Amino acid sequence: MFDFDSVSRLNGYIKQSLADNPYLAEFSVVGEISQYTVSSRDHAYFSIKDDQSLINCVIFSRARSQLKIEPEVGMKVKVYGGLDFYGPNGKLQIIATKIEEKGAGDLHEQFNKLFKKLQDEGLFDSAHKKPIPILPRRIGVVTSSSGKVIADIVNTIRKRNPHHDILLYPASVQGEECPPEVISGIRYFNDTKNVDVIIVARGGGSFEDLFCFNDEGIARAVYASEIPVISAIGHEPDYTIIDYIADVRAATPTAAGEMVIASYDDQSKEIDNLALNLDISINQFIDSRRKALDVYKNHKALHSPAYYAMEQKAVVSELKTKLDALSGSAVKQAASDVNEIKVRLDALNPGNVLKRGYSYVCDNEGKAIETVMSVKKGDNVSIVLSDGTLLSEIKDISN
Amino acid sequence: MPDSKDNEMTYEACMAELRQTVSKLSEGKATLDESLQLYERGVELVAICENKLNEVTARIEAVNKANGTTDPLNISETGV
Repeated sequence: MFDFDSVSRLNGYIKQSLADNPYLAEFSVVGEISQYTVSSRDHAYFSIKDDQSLINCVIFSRARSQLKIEPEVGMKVKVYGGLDFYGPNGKLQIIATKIEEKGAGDLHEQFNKLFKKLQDEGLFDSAHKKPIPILPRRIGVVTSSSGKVIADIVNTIRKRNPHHDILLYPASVQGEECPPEVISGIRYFNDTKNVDVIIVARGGGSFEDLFCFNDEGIARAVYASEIPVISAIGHEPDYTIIDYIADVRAATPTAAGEMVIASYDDQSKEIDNLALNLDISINQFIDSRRKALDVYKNHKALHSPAYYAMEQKAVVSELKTKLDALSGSAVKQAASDVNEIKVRLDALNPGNVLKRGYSYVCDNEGKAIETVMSVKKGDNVSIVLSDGTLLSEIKDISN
Repeated sequence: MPDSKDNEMTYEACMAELRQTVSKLSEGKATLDESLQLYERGVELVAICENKLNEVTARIEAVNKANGTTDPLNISETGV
């Protein structure tokens, strides 16, 4: 057995062995880019993979500037270069000299193909979505029994409503075992009918980690489920086929917990409010009827038959007052009219004229003699002055 | 008292009927007899909803795939 006296010596040997191997010193390989980051110095660090394997790569800025394509995650590429072992961190990587595009990556291709197939079949239609009960008696969870996800879901649900039952169906959530185990979980709950809602959950991971949820079998099992299914695979930006099929997609397992459980406090408050409204409504109803009744009950007409008579009397009395007021003013008007007439009459009083030295003549009957033609010689006439009358005899008439 | 039909109702259905009952009653358009009936039904529904809200027991279990039983699940063992 060879004895390396240090890690550096071992790493140095590995590096040299790789460099000495003509197959690894210069080659090309096809794979799908699964990560791609550009450093501040314009070197690009990335990895390529297929269904089962992955290898890290780097392309330095000078070679990168010669590229005819802008590599991106999911792109199927042919990478040219040589293998290098970097001693300081023990990392094996391809130092790429050239990258060519080979069409869309396999996994993305698979995803798109399945997506289109299921979409065309109408499996994503919202008409098929079942409502999520807000107070499920028991919640079924299909996820790994180890790890943070089930704990997160249980804790979230407990926080919102401590009264809920949770039943976990342990299932692998990565790799080849994932689809059959998730499918049997969904079927188990549908066969036993012992839960009201199913959460299928998995924590965050890479596109490849989550890829088992892009499985046609899982998609069809979820679609066939009579119990509503919530999918919570990965975190916010991750979408897998199950998310499109599920009745509701939650952004995270925790969000699924929140979604499935109406807050106990909120529900309790709503019931209390409704109970209060019920009491208020019936009281208001009775009150309004009572008030309507009181209006009639307290009506004076019902208490005293003389009420209307009194009322009419008051009306009459008011009319009378109005009349009095009106007649008073009529009398005043008349008095003033009379006075005016009196003044005018005074002005016309013949007595007043006589006082100024005039007189008039009348016959024995007191009728004024206005013309000499109405008397003859020897007639007796009276000459009226202001202070008396002179009885006279006509001696002669001239005109 | 709630009858067996009421016990079979889902919580959602009970809440929906309760909301409807309250809104009908608060409209004040029903007759006195109808209003009293609505009130009685409302009180009954409040009791049913409260029961349903409190009846579940908070059991955390896992399916034992070997024999199909359900066993208590200790969440602290899962690392939280």
